Amino acid sequence: MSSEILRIENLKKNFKSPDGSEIEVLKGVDLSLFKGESASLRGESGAGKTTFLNIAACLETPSSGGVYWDGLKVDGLSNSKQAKLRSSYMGFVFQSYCLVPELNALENVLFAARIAGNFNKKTVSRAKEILEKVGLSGRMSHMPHQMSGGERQRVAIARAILNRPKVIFADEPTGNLDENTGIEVMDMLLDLCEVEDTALLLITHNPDFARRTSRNLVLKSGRIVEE
Amino acid sequence: MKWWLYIAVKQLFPTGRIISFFTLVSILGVALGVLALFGTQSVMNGFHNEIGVKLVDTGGQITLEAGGRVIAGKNAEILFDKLKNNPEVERVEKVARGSVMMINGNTPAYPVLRSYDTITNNCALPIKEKNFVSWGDIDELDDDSVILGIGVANRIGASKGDVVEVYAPTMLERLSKNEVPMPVKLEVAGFLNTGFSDVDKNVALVSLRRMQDLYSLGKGFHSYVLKLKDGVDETAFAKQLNADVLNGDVRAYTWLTGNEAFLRVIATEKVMMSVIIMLIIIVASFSICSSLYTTVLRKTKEIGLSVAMGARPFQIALCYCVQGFIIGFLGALAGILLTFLLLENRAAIVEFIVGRETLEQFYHFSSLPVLYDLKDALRACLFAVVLCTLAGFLPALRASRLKASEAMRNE
Ligand SMILES: Nc1ncnc2c1ncn2[C@@H]1O[C@H](COP(=O)(O)OP(=O)(O)O)[C@@H](O)[C@H]1O
Ligand SMILES: [Mg+2]
Repeated sequence: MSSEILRIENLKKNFKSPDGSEIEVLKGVDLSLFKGESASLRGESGAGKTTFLNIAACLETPSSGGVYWDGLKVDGLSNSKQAKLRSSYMGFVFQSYCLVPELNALENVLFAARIAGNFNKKTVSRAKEILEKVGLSGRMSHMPHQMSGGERQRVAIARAILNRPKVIFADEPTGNLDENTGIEVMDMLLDLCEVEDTALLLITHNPDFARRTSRNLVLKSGRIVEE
Repeated sequence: MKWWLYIAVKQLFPTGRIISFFTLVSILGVALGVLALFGTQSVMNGFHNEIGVKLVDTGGQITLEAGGRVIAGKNAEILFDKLKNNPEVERVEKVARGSVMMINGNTPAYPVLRSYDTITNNCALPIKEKNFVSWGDIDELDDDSVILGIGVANRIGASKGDVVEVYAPTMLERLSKNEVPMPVKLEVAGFLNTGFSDVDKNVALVSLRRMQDLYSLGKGFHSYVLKLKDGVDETAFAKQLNADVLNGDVRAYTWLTGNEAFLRVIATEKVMMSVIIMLIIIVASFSICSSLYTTVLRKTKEIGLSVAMGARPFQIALCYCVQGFIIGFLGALAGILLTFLLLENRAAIVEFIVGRETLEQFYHFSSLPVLYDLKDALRACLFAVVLCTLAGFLPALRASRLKASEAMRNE
């Protein structure tokens, strides 16, 4: 029986619109995510996918409902505890690769370890291993501006997985890539998550990618439904 | 290494490049400001030091006076011996001085005569050591000759060997007794050329005996002038002298208090110059502030991602404050080095710019007196570092307030 890592209970989120009225973006979302599983989340633009991800990652506070990591309710925790939680439990991959332009590929990957406070010889060799796995063994000392979009996103994936997070949140990771490169990167991401036994929550518009995850979720009118 | 320090250093000195353009320009800007500040201060210190040396050379280090009254008698001799035997005193001189009217042909001047003890050759001023007498020698001075300040000589058109007529105020007494005052005739034996125009334009040297005679002082005089041994603190010495040795009659003061008003003007001048030049560093820090601020805006997503990876707002703030600090520190260091480099090679630099022939015209720059004061350097550095760190503060605040949830939203 696989263990539950993340549980979201009856999550609601309202935003104040500029004219003062409330917009209900999430109207009671329930979701459980288990160890090592992959799930895709689809939905129209503006459906609230990113908002959901932000709340699950404690980057935003919910209007009501609960977020539980390993059974612990985290949405009320102090900022420093939430930061610690993010650095040890979560990895992030975004549409824009968000690499630090002043660091080379290897240093960018290791940046995750530096923030988490576990930069050492072991993490350095692990970072090199991961970069090899994503096919960048010859590009470790390349700067971001010397790499293609696909290569940059692979560096970002390596960075996300370095600290052995329990979940990787990937918010439209192929949004900026052409079709073939997108497929390559997606292969890489799914492979790596499987090998590392890391859960994946993949936000994507692409039904082909969505089909490749073990669970398919759709965010529709403020609720998540399983397909 | 803390990650925020690491990122701060890397943003200034990216991997694969030695230094970023922004870092280079910012450091140079601060360095130029520090150069202007410390350079000007060092040159002004040099001038002030030179003026101080001139004041001491021509006025003496310590003067003891009895409120303008004549010092004479047995006690005066006892005090003289006491001063002479003081281990901190190198030389003591009895000095008489006063204004006279001096005429050469038809041209009058009103110089101050200062005595020189031709019997003991005992002088508290470095007249001999520094060759203050030109076209003659202080040893040629006798009771019937005078050494004219070069400016005095020019005014009355006196040359060496001329005989000038001197009238002292004491001769007025004779006038009131219906006697005709006869001027004293003195032969010009040389010229006093100290390089300090205040003195050269107003002073002439005569023998102590001649001065005592002119002013009817008998064996008396007006002041003791002292030269202290090297390294003796003159202010402390004068204070101690007034407290322990002197009775209320005779008081000692140093050249510093004697020229207090003048020295204060000079000190104020340095402060004012420094304040104006500090504006350069302030301007440099403004541009650092705006550049860092732009960087923060450009890096919105990066900063958002670092928050998602577990960075804390205060760490992000530190990252930008540290960048300001590093720029300030390196800029200050470079500024100090640049100052030394420029001032130590000032003659060569001027020669390189204007060529050897014209160098003579720029003699004053190449022979600029320079005096480095560690305190000036430290103050300039501190000012630059504090300002640059403050310049990082606003961008830091902005960066730390960034909401990751908004920064990371796609487009
Ligand atoms: N800070 C905010 N203030 C007001 N409305 C917001 C804010 N953030 C997001 N929204 C709104 O919430 C909705 C969901 O946004 P988002 O989660 O980014 O959608 P998705 O990622 O599914 O495209 C959008 O309609 C957006 O306008
Ligand atoms: Mg989105």
